[in-house]
Amino acid sequence: MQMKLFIPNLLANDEAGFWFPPQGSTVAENVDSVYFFILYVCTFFFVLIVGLMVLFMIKYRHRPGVEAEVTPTHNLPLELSWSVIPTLITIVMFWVGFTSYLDMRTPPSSSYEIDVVAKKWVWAFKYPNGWIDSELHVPKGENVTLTMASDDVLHSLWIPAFRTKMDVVPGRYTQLWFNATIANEKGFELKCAEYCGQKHSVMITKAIVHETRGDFDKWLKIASDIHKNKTPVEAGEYFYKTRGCIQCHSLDGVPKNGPSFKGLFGKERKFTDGSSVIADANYIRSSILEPQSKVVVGFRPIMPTFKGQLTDQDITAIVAFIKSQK
Amino acid sequence: MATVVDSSNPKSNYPIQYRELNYLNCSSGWKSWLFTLDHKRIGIMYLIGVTASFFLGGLFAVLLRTELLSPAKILMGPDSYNQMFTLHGAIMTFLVIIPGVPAAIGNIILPVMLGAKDVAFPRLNLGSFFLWMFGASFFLLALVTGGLDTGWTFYTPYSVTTNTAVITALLGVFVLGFSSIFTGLNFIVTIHTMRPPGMTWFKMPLFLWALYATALIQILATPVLGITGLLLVVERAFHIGIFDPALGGDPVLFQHFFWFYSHPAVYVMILPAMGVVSEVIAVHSRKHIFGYRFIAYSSIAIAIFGFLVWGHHMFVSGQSKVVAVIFSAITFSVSIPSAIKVFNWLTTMYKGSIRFTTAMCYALSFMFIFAIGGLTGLFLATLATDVHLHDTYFVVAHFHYVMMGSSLMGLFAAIHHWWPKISGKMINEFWGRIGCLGVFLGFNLTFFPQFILGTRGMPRRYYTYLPEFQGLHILSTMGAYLLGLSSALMAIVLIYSVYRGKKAPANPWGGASLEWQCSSPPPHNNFDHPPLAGDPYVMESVVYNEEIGGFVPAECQGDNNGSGTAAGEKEV
Amino acid sequence: MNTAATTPTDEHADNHDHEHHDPRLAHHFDSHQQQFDTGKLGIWLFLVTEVLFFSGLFGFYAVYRSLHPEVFLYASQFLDTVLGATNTIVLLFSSLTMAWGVRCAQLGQTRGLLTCLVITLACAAIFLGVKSFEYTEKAHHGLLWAGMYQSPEHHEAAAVPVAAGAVESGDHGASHADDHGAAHADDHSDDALFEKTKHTLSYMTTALWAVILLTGIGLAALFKNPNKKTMAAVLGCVLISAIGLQMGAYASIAYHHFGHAAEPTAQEIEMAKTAPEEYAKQKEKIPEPKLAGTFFSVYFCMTGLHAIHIIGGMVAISWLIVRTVHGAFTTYYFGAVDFIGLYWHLVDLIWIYLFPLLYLIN
Repeated sequence: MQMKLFIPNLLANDEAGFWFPPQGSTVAENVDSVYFFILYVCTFFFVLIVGLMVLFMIKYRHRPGVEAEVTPTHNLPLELSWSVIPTLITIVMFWVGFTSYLDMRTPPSSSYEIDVVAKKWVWAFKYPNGWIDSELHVPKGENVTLTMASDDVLHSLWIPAFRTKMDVVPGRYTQLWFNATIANEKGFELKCAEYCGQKHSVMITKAIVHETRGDFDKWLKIASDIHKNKTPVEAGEYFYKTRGCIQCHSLDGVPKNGPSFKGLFGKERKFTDGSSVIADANYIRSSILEPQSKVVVGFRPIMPTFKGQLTDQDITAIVAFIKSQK
Repeated sequence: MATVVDSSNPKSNYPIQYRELNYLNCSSGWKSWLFTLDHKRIGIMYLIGVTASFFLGGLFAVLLRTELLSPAKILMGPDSYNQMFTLHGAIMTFLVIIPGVPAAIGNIILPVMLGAKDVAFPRLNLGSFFLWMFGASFFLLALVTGGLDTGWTFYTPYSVTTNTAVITALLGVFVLGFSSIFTGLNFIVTIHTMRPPGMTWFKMPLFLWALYATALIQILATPVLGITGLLLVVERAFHIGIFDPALGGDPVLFQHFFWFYSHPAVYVMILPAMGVVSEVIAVHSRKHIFGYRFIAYSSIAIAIFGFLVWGHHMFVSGQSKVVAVIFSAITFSVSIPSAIKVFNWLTTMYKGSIRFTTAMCYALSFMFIFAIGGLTGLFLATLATDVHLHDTYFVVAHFHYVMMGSSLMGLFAAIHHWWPKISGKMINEFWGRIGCLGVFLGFNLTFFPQFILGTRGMPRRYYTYLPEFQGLHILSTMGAYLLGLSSALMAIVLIYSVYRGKKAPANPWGGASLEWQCSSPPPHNNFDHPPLAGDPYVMESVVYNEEIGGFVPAECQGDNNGSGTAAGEKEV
Repeated sequence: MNTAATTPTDEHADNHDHEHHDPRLAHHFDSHQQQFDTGKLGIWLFLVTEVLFFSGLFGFYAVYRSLHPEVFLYASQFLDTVLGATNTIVLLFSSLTMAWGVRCAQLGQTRGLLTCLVITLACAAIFLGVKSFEYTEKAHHGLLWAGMYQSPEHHEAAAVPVAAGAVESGDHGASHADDHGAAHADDHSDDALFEKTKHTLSYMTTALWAVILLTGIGLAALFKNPNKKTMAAVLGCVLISAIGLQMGAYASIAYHHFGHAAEPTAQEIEMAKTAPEEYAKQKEKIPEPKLAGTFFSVYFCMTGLHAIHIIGGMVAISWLIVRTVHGAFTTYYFGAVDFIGLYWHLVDLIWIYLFPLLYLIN
């Protein structure tokens, strides 16, 4: 952009300018040019006003024997000119700000979708494969749309390097999109900008930009392969929390839509068809894959099947988790 | 320097300069102050209350800045920090800046400027002051009963869920709101019905125009804050589900209602300061104000536009794009009347005879600071840049430049300009100017680095921060110390003058508006006879008189002796 | 000019510095006309702030009604239109008497003024009496603001176990009496709730009887004592208010008891026979939306704030009555009556907006 000429090179260093963090997204350059355009206009007017003020202060300071001169008390053309000229300038400012804003706020039709949940005082980023991470990972050069919701109070997701920010409001979804232009494995700062209580100032995480889509996919595959990073019980707990088990199965012994997992393993189960079985690994496996085939007395047959959604390894982890709920 | 003319000398042609019996000593005892109906005494009480609140809020500010010297803990933990910035904001906004110029200075000066004996409803005026004290005591109560950690904006749902004294503080805001409404109502009625013969609307001093515009905002916007605060109280106490998303309420709706008041409230803070500057610059340059009508109309324009721009606080709140665009466009229109005023003030100084009294120094500081504050507003009005700058230190710096810098410079200018009238004493101008210089430098040192912090990515209301920001934070804190010390020096100079200052003449600066026609300090009823009002900016109508040490009407001067032709060998 | 400095005009400081002045003219005004104009402008500005104060609530109403129209449609059926309309008429009548009172004050007719003020005060109290019945009834039905709201559906289901045909079903929702047999046994039946409402109100009515009795005795004792005019006037105001409240409460109970059966009218029976399907459709219940409590939040906030204004108005009118008894108002000094009259008309006007907005959504 030609406006880049305005950026004061003297003050800028390699990574970041005097004013701004590095330009990490497609909109950043635009925002910065608008900023510097306004900055130069403002500097001009500031120098004009203060310059005149100082000039008058010196030139017309009170001196003995010199009276104030009587000058006209109004001058319509003069006054109109300093009403109209600033008006025209602000119209230009509005226009450049408005057009860039529309670019920033209109999510592109095709983009990589990530769901964000903010709560006191952590961020959770949910990727399309269901993996939830506390850091934001995105590929470089690809449109990414964040759909955000809050669990408690207002938060605001801000990535200074991307020059983009949006409040996260409980009770509704807000959206934010960007297209990262610099790969950064260490990550850009991602901050909460709306006051949210005690740990507001540490509700900070990283926005990591991967060089290519391939790198990103590789990261996601490794990260979401939870059996590598976790014990089976931990992995089972992860599935329990993220795959919806938690909605119907409690851990405290109180049945909800389905039986509680507390003390379930090894107990005798009675079914509506009159048969019964001891709850072992095989029973749990078949309950997950074919839940309607045997329904425990006192519950309705409402559980969906998870066939094809959970691998054998996942189910083993869930079994281990249920086993641990004594 | 001649002493004050002995007013008992019947041969003297000069107006009375000083009376043994004036509003300060015509009656005594605490009851004669607390239950007075005299607008001047009520104004003095406001001034004392506002000053006390200012130093309390300032103390919080200094503690906050000290904490921010380093990202690690220095004085307090995050919870205390959150409470402290909340109370700093709430006290400074509701107890200092909003009542500062209108209720304190306006109360003292407005009726005198109008040549009236009092405001239209003296009892209501006293009632406003009692409400102010009542509201202030609610704030103090909130301070001691669990504090307040919502930020002065009370955003929901945080304010519904936190377990600090939100209800107490909101009741305080509610009561203070009514104090402000009644003051505004009183001023509008006074200006409408009690102008003296000869004072048409366009012969009113511009300070009165500014107060009038302010009062319009006070009575039109404050009730909405009142009902919003009340509903938030009810929401917290009974869970009515209007703001709480857990019960189907809408937290963004609260922001709309809050800013519908609180944005115009910004103009409650700045308009009277602009009015003060219009007076001070004209008087101390010995010039007729330039472009009277444009300044007067721009006050009203600011008041009207001020109601239409609240949505610019919410560009990233999740409101629709269209709404944001409309609010951005209207926001720019507010900058025009402000620009007009600045250029008119500059032109007023042209070919004047500028004396750098303390009041004038504050008025010039106002112009400098307001230029920065106003121009940086353009970055925030522009949609694209506001997305980045919203809720950062850039915003903090911007609104301190406007609300704190400009409004308080206006208040300080007003205090120094009318101090001879209020107290009957002259201050020590040398120390006054030192104080002004300190305030000016301290202020800029505190807040200018915050612009850079903001663009570089420092969010506001952060207890701790990344190490790369520390240098600028230290600069800012040093500025805050200087600012605090200089304000204390200013207060000391003023208080010292009450006990040791020279007696003030009726018209020490050469103002042509009516308040300079009555003696300093004014008698209980201000004027013995309703004065005749002329153009308040014809500075040639008064000339300097050495014998008196102040200005006297030109016609008296001629009668006595022909010596005082040169306007002032006065040393200041 | 100089002499003024030595003459101690300022010695009597606070406000009686011009002894020769008419005591009805404040010292800082030049004329009665100026004083009146000042007050008039002041009260109009005050009314503007009042309107804006309420406009916040009307704003909320508009937002939530446009967001959740079904909530308003559903929940407003629980408000009793007859009671609301009665209150509207009572308030309108009080506005008339208030305006008449202002006229009397202008003409210097003290006795007429007093009568008008007393009637206005009584009307205000009747309004509050009816309102207290409505509030109590809502509370017993669980129709409270969102945080306390209990769905009427569950006690309705208990109260009407089987809808024995369209004609007999409890169709007006829970607030309407349902006299049909099966309901009596149940604790949640409308009759039981009505009994509870009456019971709660009986605390108020008993207290009011005591107040009426005591103030009556006090008034009788003071009646001929000219030195205790203020006291007598205050007691009189309390008495009138208590009687008004009592009337309002009893009238609502009586209306609920007699005038307001859920028996289907002849027309309805006819319709049920001839066109059963249409009748059923007409009588079909609106399903309960999720946020029904929000309506009652709005209802209680708006009517509650309005009721506070009514109480404020009653205090102001009582003050006028005391002043009138002392003969304070004359043909050239009647500002206070005029200003409080304006305030009263505004309070009225707000109710005239509230009534259709809350009661008549359908």
